[in-house]
Amino acid sequence: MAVQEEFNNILTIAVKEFNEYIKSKRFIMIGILYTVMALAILGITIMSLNYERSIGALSGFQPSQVLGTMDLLNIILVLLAVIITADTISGERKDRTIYQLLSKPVERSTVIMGKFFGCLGVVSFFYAAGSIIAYVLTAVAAGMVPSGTDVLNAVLVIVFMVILFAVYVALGILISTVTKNPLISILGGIIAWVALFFSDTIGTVIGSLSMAGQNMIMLGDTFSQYPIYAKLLIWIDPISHDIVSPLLSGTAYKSGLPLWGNVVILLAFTGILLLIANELFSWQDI
Amino acid sequence: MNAIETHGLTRNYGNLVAVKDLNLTVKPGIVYGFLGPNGAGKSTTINMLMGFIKPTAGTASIMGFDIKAQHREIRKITGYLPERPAFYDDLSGKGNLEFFGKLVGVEDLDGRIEELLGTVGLEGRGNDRVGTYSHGMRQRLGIAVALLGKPKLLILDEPTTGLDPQGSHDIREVIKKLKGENVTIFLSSHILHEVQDISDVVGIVKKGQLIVERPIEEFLRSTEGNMAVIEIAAPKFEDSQLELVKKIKGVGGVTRNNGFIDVMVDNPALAEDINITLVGAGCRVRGIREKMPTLEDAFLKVTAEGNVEG
Repeated sequence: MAVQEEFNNILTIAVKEFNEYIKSKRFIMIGILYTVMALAILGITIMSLNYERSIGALSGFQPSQVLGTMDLLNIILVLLAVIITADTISGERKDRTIYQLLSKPVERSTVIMGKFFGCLGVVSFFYAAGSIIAYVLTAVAAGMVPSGTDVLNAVLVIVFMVILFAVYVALGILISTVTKNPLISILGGIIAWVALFFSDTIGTVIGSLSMAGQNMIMLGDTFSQYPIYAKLLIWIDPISHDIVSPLLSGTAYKSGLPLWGNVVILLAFTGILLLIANELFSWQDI
Repeated sequence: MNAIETHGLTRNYGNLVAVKDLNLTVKPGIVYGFLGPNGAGKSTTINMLMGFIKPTAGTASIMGFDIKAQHREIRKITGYLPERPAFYDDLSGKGNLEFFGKLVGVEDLDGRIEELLGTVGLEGRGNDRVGTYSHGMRQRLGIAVALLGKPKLLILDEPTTGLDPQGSHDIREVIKKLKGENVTIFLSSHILHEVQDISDVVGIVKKGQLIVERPIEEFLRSTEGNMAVIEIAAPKFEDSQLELVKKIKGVGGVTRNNGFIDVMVDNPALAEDINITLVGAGCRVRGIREKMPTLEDAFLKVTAEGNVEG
């Protein structure tokens, strides 16, 4: 009974969060930005399609190429995920709505989970809507009907992206719990995003230098030859666990881990971040 | 079982003692006026009761539920109006009520929302965005949110601040009606005449300590040395007439006061004897009434003295 109540409360908070966000000015601004970027990606894909058509290589073209190209947007989209989420709790504190919310029979963990799913819904909505529209438009432009496998891969890509976004949304929730000022929360989110990005970059540089120092030949799967600390620096960045390209084109996973390993790591990241956020929030005075 | 009970409740912020060894008892079904100067620890006490902050020491219970371990049970039976209630401005009044109503688990939510909008005088404005509401309308919506779950205990932090006279009157009427329905009301307010009008018991905190907790009439009398004051109006009082009044057994003193006389008595029933004496001495008495000291007078007196009740 209590579990059912908690589930209902999480759903209530998530739905409110989602509905409130998609009506907000911030959503419209971010939506416009994302749509412009997505249209640019779509344009590039259709240009590529026309090029392949002009050289008579259209048979090699797949509508799912647009998803692979849209993968370039991930680094921006995960930043948006952190920005969207980073003031959810601190904003409630600033607006004093937290007093209304926590005077109702809800656990603080319920608030955290409700906010998490609501914000994840918003980010996933951006991505899924953009991807599906781009995929359909590309298929129509190419005049190709995707096969069952193509559609399954496209669905897997979207599901996997939701798992990737979940890490950043959880990170935003944690930052929002730690800080009390929404502006600082958002700045903190941007700093965390930059730190993760550079962690990956630094890990790659260290790995490459290490191999060069040992006069190792950098061919094929170089990642497996990186020292463990370089690998750890790379693995810390959730984007290093991105599987879109391998799934669509069969290339190697950047993280050097199999599909299930990447998924487990991303889910673990999300779980740990939410656990810390929940512990902090439960322990804090309002 | 008491509605609220605290034992040695204490909250420190570093070296600052916000609430010290607070022992409150709020019996069920009463209106408890919780008073104190700014910074006395009222909000800290309420925040501890609501589980927003944790006590440094001591225990407290609401309707028998421990405030540290049983938040959920407490919030199911408690309605709370924060000072300066805040809402989700992009949602309508109904939208806010619907959201909080779902969290409270209200059955027939639509019906309850319509009923409450009528109770607080917001009918016709329920579909408007809360962002367009005036302060008074937000305060009314806050009362409606607090009442959503038909609470057994209502904790109201400055419920009429910023309301116009009609709004304040309406809210007082709601509180009186709830009292009639056996809802316990814990009322923190700076508007002392309002507290005097609706409270049964008054608790006063100063510097984090409870200095008074008594039934309100008893408290008001206690500040006059347990004497009642009879105010008498007449066109003219002769000194000889006042001397006769002073000789009545139970009269503690007589003072002139802007054309009236105030007679201190140990029993308000002496008003009849005083009237007979004055009329017998040729005084044309126009009116006679027991003059209660105001809560404001009594509050100022005890907070200036700051004597802690043992």
